[in-house]
Amino acid sequence: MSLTPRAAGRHITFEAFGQPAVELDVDFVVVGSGAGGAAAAVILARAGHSVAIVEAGPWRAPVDYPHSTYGTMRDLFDAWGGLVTQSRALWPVVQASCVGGTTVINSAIVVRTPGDCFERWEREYGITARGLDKRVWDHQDRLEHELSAEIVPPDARGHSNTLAMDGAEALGWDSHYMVRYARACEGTGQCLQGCRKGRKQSTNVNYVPEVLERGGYVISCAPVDRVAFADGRAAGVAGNFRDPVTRRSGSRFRVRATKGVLLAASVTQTPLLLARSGIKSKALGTLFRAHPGTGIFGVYDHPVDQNVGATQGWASTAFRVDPGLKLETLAIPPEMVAGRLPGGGAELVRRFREYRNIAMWVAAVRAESAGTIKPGFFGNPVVRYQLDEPDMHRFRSGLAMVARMHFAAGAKEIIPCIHGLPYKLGPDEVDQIEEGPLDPRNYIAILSHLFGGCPMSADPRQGVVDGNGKVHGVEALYVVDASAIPTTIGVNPQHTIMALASVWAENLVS
Amino acid sequence: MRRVNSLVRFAMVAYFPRVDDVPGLAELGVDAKIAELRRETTWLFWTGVVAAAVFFQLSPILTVRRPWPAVMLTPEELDQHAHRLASHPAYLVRQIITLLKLTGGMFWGQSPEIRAMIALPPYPDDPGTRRTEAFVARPVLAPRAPVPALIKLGRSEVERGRDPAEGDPMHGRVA
Repeated sequence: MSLTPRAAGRHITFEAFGQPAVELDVDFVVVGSGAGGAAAAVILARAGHSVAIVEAGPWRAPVDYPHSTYGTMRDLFDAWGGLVTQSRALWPVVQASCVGGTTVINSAIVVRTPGDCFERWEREYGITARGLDKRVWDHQDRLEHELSAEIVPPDARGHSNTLAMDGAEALGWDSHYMVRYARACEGTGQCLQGCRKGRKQSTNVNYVPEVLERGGYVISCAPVDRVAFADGRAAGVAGNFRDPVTRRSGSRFRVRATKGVLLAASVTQTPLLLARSGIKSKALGTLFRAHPGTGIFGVYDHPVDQNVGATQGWASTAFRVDPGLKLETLAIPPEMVAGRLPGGGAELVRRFREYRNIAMWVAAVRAESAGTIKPGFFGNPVVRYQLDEPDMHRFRSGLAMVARMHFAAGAKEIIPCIHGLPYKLGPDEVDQIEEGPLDPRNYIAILSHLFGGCPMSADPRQGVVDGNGKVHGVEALYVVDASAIPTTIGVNPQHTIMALASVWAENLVS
Repeated sequence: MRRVNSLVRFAMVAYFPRVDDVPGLAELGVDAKIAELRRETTWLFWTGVVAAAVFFQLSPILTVRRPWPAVMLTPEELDQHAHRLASHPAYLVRQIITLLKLTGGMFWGQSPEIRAMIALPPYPDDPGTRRTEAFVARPVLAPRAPVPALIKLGRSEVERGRDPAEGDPMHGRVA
């Protein structure tokens, strides 16, 4: 099957092995349809360019989203959520694999890029793009408008979020109900499984369909094997379709791009794709960073029903600089709680009986520790990452702050879920958390905000891409996802990723 | 194939037994769920689950000081074994069991009986569908309809002055 440029937009999906190869000719090809890829693709499409988005996972609309965690792991997660850091502690790396990427399973939290990030990128990485901060914030204005950024409505909050506000107010901490890309949220508590109501504005319900409407292409179930080069410049991508159910390989696809190849395959996949494509850079796979987060359950003497109301609706960014934390609510589904509570057997079931009365709030660390992403033996990403001691101190103090907030909100006990500490602690025992272990193996944490792997720097020895997202030494090849961000930013990154990708796509248009 | 599934079943059921009026995983269609998992998951994930189940069988010596497989333990010993293994001092032991416990917890916690116990409606079936059509339109939003409990809480929030209409719509921006 061969499609010519400027034909009507079209979604192309899995073709079985033996079927003719899919061949496309476009101006720009964008690999990945999450925050970075979709934001860049729509800018290019609006400027009149022919664009193809190539996504490794299937396209699932809200009506296709699963209800259960099992279905989420099967239908939306990358490799059943099986990617973990390979260091002292095995912490899961949370990423989706579907059209819309991780925007389908996150809480769409909107926080503007803090100004000090730009200063640090300039100071440490020589990113001197004039007015980058202003351009990013201008795009964030636009994104907030287009994607209906709203404060969680009062009748969508749920007790977990209002209790967190009570706790923060009692302690005199600056905090807020979250702003999210969600159009009139109903508080169904299903952000992590994909919002079946379609209210969360993940990119598969707005920018990706817009690319189709503007005559572009979306190729789903299509993991890119490598970038193709011609005359020393990136000229397209190729790979084989993959059946989303059987994971069997299908027919071949090739997309030729005359103007540019933009990679936004995720922090774990973009560095590997560049490596497979023969990009040689000492910085490739380096400066992997994250905001590791973990939660503490508060036990209240009344039902909280944390899964009724917004999954995440309250946050505090007041501690972003000192000590370097973000505090948030996070309601995980009951089946996840069942596996996460300490213990097993009859004792675990007895502990779960308190489910209605517990709320989980989390602390995410603005960690300075850096790790690596390299290809494993089977071509899979291998993430080596471990928090150093200063970060572990922050991690621990974040948990103590969350514990204090629970008590200030009226919790009678907390469940710290820290190995070596009692199952429950009372209000006078928070110091046990503050003096708790510094070994990451004692904590159950996840990495959900990922950065780096293809860091940007003016110096090719330090970075893979320059301040415009262009791969050093290669024409027409760009990285437009969080893998280009060389530092943590201390706030939820989706808004920053989308705005940066928009700026870089805009540069290509102009 | 059946033997391997039984091995996995034994370990998962030990983690989520019946307690008083709370049904155990054994009563909640676990066999079909394990078969489904085996059919649908990745080779690596399934191998991890099976390895954890084998380890669970072979490790009573570490927990209840019995040098025989878990299948030969008394019900009380088996319960202790499950509990102690999940909170074992060795990190690797805890991690091996985590996968088993998380998967078993998923099966148990998402069953209609357990959701009813915590006042949640049953999950409908996961559709497992995807878009295959050539043009995928944007979804159309149905009228907004929060549940009554949230509406009531929302009223109280407004009464407390926590109405976003009265605040800065971008409160929380740090730029």
